Amino acid sequence: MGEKKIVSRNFNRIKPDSINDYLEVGGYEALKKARSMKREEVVEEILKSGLRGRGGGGFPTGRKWKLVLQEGGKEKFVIVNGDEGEPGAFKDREILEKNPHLLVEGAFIAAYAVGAEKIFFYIRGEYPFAQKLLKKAVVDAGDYSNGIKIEIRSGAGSYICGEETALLESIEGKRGHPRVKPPFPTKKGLWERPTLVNNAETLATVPEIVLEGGEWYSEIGNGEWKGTQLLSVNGAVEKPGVYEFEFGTSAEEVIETAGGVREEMGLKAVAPGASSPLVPARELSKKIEEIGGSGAFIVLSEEESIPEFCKSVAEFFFKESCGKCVPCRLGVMRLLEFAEKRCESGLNEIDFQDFLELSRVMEATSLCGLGKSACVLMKSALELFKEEFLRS
Amino acid sequence: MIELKINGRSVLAEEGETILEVARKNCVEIPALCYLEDLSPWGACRLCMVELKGDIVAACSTQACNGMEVETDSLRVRELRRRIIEMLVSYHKCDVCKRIGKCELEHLARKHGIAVGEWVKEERKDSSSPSIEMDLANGILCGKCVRVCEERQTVGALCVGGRGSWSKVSTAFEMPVSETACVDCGQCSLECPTGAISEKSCEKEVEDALGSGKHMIVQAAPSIRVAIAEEFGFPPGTLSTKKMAAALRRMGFAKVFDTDFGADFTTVEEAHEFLEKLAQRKTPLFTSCCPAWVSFIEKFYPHLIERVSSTKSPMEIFGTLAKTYYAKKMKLDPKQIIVVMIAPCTAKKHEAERKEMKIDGMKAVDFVLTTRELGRMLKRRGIDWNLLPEEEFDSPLGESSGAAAVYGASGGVAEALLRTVSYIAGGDCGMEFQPLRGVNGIKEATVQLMGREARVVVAQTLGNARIILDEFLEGKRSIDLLEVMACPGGCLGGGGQPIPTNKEIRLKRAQALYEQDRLLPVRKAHENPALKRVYWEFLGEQFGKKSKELLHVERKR
Ligand SMILES: Cc1cc2nc3c(=O)[nH]c(=O)nc-3n(C[C@H](O)[C@H](O)[C@H](O)COP(=O)(O)O)c2cc1C
Ligand code: SF4
Ligand code: SF4
Ligand code: SF4
Ligand code: FES
Repeated sequence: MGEKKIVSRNFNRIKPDSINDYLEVGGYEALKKARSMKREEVVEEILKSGLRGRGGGGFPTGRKWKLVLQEGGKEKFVIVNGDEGEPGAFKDREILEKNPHLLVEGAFIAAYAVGAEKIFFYIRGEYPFAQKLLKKAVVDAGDYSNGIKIEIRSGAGSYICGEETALLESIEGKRGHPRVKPPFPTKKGLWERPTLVNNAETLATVPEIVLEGGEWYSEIGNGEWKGTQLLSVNGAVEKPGVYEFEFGTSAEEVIETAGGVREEMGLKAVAPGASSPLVPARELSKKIEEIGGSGAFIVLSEEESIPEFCKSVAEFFFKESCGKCVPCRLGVMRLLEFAEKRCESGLNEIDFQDFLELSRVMEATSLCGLGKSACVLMKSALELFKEEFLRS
Repeated sequence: MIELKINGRSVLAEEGETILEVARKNCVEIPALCYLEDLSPWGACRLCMVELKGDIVAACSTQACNGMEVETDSLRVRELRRRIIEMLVSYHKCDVCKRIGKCELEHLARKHGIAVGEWVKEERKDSSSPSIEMDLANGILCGKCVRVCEERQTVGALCVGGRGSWSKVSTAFEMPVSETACVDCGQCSLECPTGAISEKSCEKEVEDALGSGKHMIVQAAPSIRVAIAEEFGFPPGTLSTKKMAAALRRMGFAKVFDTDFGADFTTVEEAHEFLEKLAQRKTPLFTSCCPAWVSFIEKFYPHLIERVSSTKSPMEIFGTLAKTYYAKKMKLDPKQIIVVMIAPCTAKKHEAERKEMKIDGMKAVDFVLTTRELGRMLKRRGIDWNLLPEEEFDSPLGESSGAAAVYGASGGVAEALLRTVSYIAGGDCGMEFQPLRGVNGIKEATVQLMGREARVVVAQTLGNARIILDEFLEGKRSIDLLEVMACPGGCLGGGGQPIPTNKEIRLKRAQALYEQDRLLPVRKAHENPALKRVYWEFLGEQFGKKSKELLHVERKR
């Protein structure tokens, strides 16, 4: 296992703003191939490939496409989720800045496969350069649109708008509040129409699958996890950046690929973003698919204070909770109180119990994934690095 | 049909029903602070959670399925629910709230033995509106007000603003609510589970006036008598006209009169106006007695304002006659008369302030108290509803017909009008108009008038009114008479009515009003002897010069 380039194959090899470069490496061939097939056949290839969503949920992509396709001939939409709000994740930006046409092609294939007539690109607001490249790519790819309309929307700086139903509300011009599910977007999405929401990386994987076939893809990877994943490796490594790994690769290999831990530093833990448990140094044999998260890979050195890190995570959730449901809106206040209290006076056993109680409530009762996972990282930190939290 | 188990008991459900709906039908209580049956599911309070074989789901937004095993009160559910209530109350201020004893959150906390905690958030009061008052930082963000305003009324004055934990109910750009599209209907205050949105109170002003030595007279709207007893624990729909009169007298009012008296004038004047429009082929005519509806037209369909009847509302006609006819008759200086209105309505507070309603520079109605405010004032005085005697209204502004009684129910104004219109036009199109009664949002009837068919349409809630208006503007609907009440069920479901007000309660109040109509000797407005006397002694001709001057206003853009 280890590094393997599928999505990133042409990164740094072609100019991102040149459609000719893209065409020279076989660009838009997959789209032509897809359009020569029946919609059902395209969906079937994706199903066969075993591709799963890269936006964090890991939902089988082919199944999602099939659900939208089955919705009959109504008006449908495809949404490319490029909101990438997870702290420490920047792999979708990499796709946009290194090969935007790949994403446009993937989105065209998806729109064809599910029978949608319009694509929305929802791109993080803090990515103006990526947006510019994407805009150019969309214009240049006009000849390949086959009548499919494209609109690029800029996110407005809110993490929750990456959650698919909040994203729908945002595109509809409303406050980014997650909706009650069901109905799922596949049935009632944008303006109540069947809608396919996929992460940018998910769609950028699609052209290669169409060209090489689902079976080819399904032989790459490990167990239930087929193919490769882009990781935004950062923190205390020598060569931070976006790397693509085959599933089955261990955390240790990831760190090695990124040049190893920065000189003279020991490694304490890896944080796969803000919503997943920490991986301590002794568990670096864990595979990337076991670590989870949505593409962030933050290496924390020995010098890092885990409580301080938890505090920054708590601050993040405190700011980014959408405020709709009670356990999360008020829970993130408590979460921050705990994190701040530790930094002032240290926590005691009662605090630990109270915190566990809070995390149970938030996990069980929050409306969406943000609230459900807001305590996860700190909970793992308390288990793994308890002594750092105690009153000294 | 679906079969599932709730707490071990097998129950049947319809396809598509939520767990919460099924549970309620089967008398299993699940707390649900952010749920309202006519609004879209919101799923924010999370109190309705139940356990499904280890999974925790929100009952309000999870459909019942065959074979489901639902636990509404397992140890885990109880524990989680308790924690959420604790969170809510610890960020909630309870000490200076009007909702004492009727706050759903307080109720839940008490039931779970949780002390209501300290206040931590910033204050955010908005008293700019004449009708409602907001202490939005004290909201629990159940989102009901936002959805009521947006979905039921299609006004959209409220929204959620702020980020994360500091989210709060707000208005666009945090404008004062008086500067928004708000039409004062008060439905948000009725549905608010806490005291975050409430009626703008003028209890203190009325208390002060009662002690001022002025001539205090009071009028009570048709919907008060079927609702006020609820404030004292009596069942909804208890008709208590006479106890209400006694209670008002005990508050110190010199005369206790009846808005129904004014309603009969509205009926007669508007009937003439309608016939005139019909003859001139200038219909549709829109009823004008709901001020929220009038504001709605002004704000959303200003080009239709001339369609609104020029006839004043019963409350304003009463106030006008009190300060002209009554003052003259009693040899009182109108400036010494204070008219207090008891209304089911918050929008009436705004109507009373309107410039065009003034007579000789005076407000025709000085203060408007809602049913809820009246309830609180009576309780403060220690008035015991059980011990109250039964008393009559005073004369001469206390007599009325059955047609006035039904003003309180959606369809009632149209019905009252038709009873009189057919008399004036000659002929008889009936007494009771069943198609115009009941809970449907849009109701219709066709009657024969002046040799042609006249289309009568009745809408309750502004959302339904909008549907009608849009159809009308697109030429898809012909209308001669349109009655709109902003509140569901009409004024008996008004924004100032006792809390709770829901579908069943509205139905009971409506039944009581129709019952009252049936039992009255005079059921048509034009037959009210007191009304005839006022025309004879004071106004002259119906819809004549003086009537038009006093009982009508110009509707201008
Ligand atoms: C709080 C929250 C934030 C999210 N942010 C993103 C995001 O920035 N980008 C993304 O693709 N998916 C995000 N998701 C996941 C989306 O809801 C959705 O599952 C995903 O876009 C589906 O695409 P996929 O099936 O291709 O993964 C987020 C989910 C949650 C709960
Ligand atoms: S869990 Fe948090 S982010 Fe998600 S709906 Fe609730 S308040 Fe909003
Ligand atoms: S009073 Fe009526 S219109 Fe005004 S905010 Fe409340 S619901 Fe909306
Ligand atoms: S329906 Fe009645 S209570 Fe409601 S706003 Fe109109 S007049 Fe007031
Ligand atoms: S009633 Fe279900 S979440 Fe509020």
